[in-house]
Amino acid sequence: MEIRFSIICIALACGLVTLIPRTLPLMVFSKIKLPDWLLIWLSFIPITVMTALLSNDLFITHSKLTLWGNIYGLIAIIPTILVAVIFRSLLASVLIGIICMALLRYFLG
Amino acid sequence: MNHQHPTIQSDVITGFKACLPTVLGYLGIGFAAGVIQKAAGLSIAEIGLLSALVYAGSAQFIIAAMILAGNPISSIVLTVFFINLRHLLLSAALAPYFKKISLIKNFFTGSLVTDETFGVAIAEGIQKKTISYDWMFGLNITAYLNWILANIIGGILGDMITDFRKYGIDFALPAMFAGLLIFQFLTEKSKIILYIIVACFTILIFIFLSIVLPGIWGVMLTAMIGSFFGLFLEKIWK
Repeated sequence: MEIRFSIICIALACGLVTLIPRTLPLMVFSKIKLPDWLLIWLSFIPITVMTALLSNDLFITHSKLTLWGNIYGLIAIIPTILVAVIFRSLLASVLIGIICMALLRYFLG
Repeated sequence: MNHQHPTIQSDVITGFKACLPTVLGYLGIGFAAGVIQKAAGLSIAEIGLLSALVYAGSAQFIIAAMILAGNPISSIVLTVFFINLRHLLLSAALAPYFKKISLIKNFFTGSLVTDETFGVAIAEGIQKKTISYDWMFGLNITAYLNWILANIIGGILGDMITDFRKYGIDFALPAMFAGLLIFQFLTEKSKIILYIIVACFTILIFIFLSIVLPGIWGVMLTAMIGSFFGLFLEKIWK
């Protein structure tokens, strides 16, 4: 099986530029005392990042903002959220989401 | 009475178990990534290499698309840099939990940071007030190996599956983000209203920013601005 030299270059270079943002803060910030406001700011990062990532999946289609473009996604996310709240199970919510999406596509095309 | 001191082994296994709920979502996305990379002309070995060295779904999707379009390597690397810059925030948010860990161990923990494992780890950290290095190791390694495997399987089976979208598998990623988001809300019940307000505001910021500034910056800038809003609200709430 072949591995092209160009792909090796891409893999190594992309790996490196990804590795640095991943490791630097953990290595550096854990040794410095961070100011209180920064700690509070960081405490919101999980929520804002997840919300942004979710919004990106729901509202962006083909790199363009389309509020109702991913209507199936907007519909399927409702049972996903409900299951997450009621059953507190990540696996169950992912499964429900996938099933809903599959059903929507199957019946509505 | 049954005293169980957490051993390295037991922590790693607990971390592995904590990863299991995300494994399905990962499998779906990794599978999809494998299919798309195969369709872009990458060999199974190349897919394995990218999965192991880059280990980032969105980046791998983009790499596949750009290779297919014949973009120069420099453009690909630059694009991947910006797409993955958000890991800076994730790593920074995890840093306070790893203060007592050595530099090298933190390097290894950081090298495997992803959106999904971050969500699981931060929930653990908020709930238990601490994150064990070995637990994190179990979590990370499980996710990592699962990802590489999913990509390879996707690459192998990709030719056979004509339309995986039919099965809704591509919705695994947003479903997982939604699930992890809800868990964030539930980790600190006293702040749940605050969190919901911040999340709604963040959605508005995202929509606004993507009109004004379409592209890769969207997610990261939105998260940063949303967090400042959260900081502001928390300060005036007191």
